[in-house]
Amino acid sequence: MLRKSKKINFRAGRFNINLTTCVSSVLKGIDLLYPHSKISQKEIIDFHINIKPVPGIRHYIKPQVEFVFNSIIPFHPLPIDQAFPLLEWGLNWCVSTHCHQFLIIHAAILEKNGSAIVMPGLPGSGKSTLCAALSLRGWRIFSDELTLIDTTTGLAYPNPRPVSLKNQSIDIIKSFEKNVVFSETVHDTLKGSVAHMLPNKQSTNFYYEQSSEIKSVIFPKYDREATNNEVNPISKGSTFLKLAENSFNYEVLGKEGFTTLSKVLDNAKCYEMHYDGCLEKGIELVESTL
Amino acid sequence: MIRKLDHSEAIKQLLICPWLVSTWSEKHWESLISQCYATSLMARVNWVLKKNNLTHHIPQTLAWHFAAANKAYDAHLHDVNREIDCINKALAPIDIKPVYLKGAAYIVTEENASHGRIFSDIDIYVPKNKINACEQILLWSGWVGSNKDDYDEKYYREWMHEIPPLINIETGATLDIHHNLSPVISRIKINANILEKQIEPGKKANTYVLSPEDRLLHSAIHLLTGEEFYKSFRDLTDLDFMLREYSNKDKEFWEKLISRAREMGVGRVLYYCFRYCSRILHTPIPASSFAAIKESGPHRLLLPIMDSLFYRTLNPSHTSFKDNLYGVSCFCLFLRSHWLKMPLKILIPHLLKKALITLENDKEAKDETTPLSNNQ
Amino acid sequence: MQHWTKGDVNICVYECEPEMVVYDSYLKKTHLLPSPYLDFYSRLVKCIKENSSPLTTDEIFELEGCNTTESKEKTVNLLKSLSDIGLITSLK
Repeated sequence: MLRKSKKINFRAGRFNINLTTCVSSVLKGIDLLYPHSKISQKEIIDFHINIKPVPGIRHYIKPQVEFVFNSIIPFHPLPIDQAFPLLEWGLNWCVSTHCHQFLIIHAAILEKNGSAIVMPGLPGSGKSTLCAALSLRGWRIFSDELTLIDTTTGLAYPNPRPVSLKNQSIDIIKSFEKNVVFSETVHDTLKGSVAHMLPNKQSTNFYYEQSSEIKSVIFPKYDREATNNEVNPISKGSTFLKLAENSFNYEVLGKEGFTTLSKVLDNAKCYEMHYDGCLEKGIELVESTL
Repeated sequence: MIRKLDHSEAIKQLLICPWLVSTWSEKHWESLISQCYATSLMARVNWVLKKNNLTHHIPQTLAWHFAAANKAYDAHLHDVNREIDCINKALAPIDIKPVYLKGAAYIVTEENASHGRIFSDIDIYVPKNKINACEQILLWSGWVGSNKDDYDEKYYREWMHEIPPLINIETGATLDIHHNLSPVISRIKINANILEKQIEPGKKANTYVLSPEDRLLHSAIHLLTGEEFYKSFRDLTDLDFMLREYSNKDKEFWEKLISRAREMGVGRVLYYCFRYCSRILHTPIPASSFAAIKESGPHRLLLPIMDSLFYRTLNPSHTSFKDNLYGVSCFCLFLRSHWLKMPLKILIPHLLKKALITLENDKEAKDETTPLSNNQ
Repeated sequence: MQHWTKGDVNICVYECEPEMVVYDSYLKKTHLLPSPYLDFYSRLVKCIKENSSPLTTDEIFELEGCNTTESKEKTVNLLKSLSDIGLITSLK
């Protein structure tokens, strides 16, 4: 920890953040994973955040840190070595809790040549690993976690941030592509071991208002024992319900959420994908849907 | 009072003099948004701007914060109205006409305090002799108890002025059923029978509310004898809105309010309400009303202490307003709240029990390292 | 004799052949209905609009060509399901 807190203003996806922290791992994480994202003091800030040590006895015995959003503390504190993942989870919370100008779906979304694919997935579906791999083969990451769909147009908007990978996925991606920039792996989190990957330049050098039509919705199912690597079409109706279930704010948006999903599914084809974890094969299957 | 006109007190400036926003820089608006998040007042502030035709001053890049908060508020309003319909329908067969309290009351009366106001529970008042029937029929109609242990059951049923909360299985909404405005064992003793004489219909069909004076006093009791302060500035703005609106509608409101407060034995609460609403939010309260309530104020040596505690806890809980004594002030008022609610022989064991429960919860949280949010 | 008309104003339909997704914006519930419902519902609504008035159960039997007890029962079940969701309303 530093003696005195530092303040940084930086762009996290499409939102401007003012961060105050004295935790050095957080500052290092930002330098590494948001290298071209610093913004001037004059820029207007969306979210004011503080990552600070928990005061009192916890400062000395098994120190913890807490995420503070405009003086509100929405989560329990975490051990200090999880400070950078806490920032990333907190930034996700900021978006998924507040940004009702979008329908927000818990899904990865990538774009190439004007077409976007959305991959919702429960933990363990393999979506994050696939998302990271696709981004290393020319796809632009709109987001690895939060698909943002404009409620008036049904188009998806980019919000690219470091890709969160867990456990074996970290080594898998490190083997898949050398020279990828990763944060240090943090162990013993609620999700196991976690590391964050710097997204490619194509993802972060973009015009924030450049939207994309969603052309495919793919539900990946990773199964190491799978004998067939295949994509199978599924009905729009069942996809509709699954997307609604995987949305953070479908209930808040009400009818607007319903009409937004209708607009998306008017143009998107829907698939289930079974694959055994071979990433090159997975990428081929995803690309075959377009 | 507004101590400074820089952006560190943006939210107070806006609520006291909305037209000031026409002079604001973008940084000023940025501070406002941050303070709105801290106080859960984004949608309410947006309503104030709309009412005063000032929304065109909002910087384009920040407009989404207000629009998004409005959507959340609209969803909340819909859900509350639907829940009220469910409650009324469930209680109709036994001819109980629930009296809606606090946030739900603001909505069924469509008063200014309803605008942009989000709350977590629906509160109703039911006469004590109908509480059992009310609880039974709700349990038959799809509500469940909220898994309280034996100690909590005793706390609610023997000591408090409400029964343990019920939850609607279908919607997940929490319902608090009160049979008085203050706890049975409280040092502030309110005779619930006098409340019933002044119940009136709400604007929403089949709903009832307390009289304006009683609604004001209930909210004031809740804020000024309560134990939690993270939403206290928002609750203070409720009182400000209510005092302004009710006094505009009824010339005799101030006299009725003061006389009612005396009748209920809550003159001290009203004294603090007048004092802090006028000093923090510049609520226009007639000098005669201040004079009339003066005798209910605290001892002259106690007043500066109460000022010190309440100024810290009733102002926004945002870093722009908090100082090093904020935490201590909250703790002092927490102790005071319990002292008001309970006689000493119940209070001390209760506080010990609460401390033990807090330690156990902290240990569980540490073991699980569970963030409060699922949105990771 | 029951009359059937278009349903609750809070109901929205998304047709995604062969299924349909129905949303009740009052209860905030989303339902997925499989293929028999979409075709049947589309025919019913078209006919109600053309008639400019509710249809009786007998008129619906005629529309669907129901001349056996079994087919009538099937149609009545479809009507009840659509009515339960609010897509159509039964008037006595």
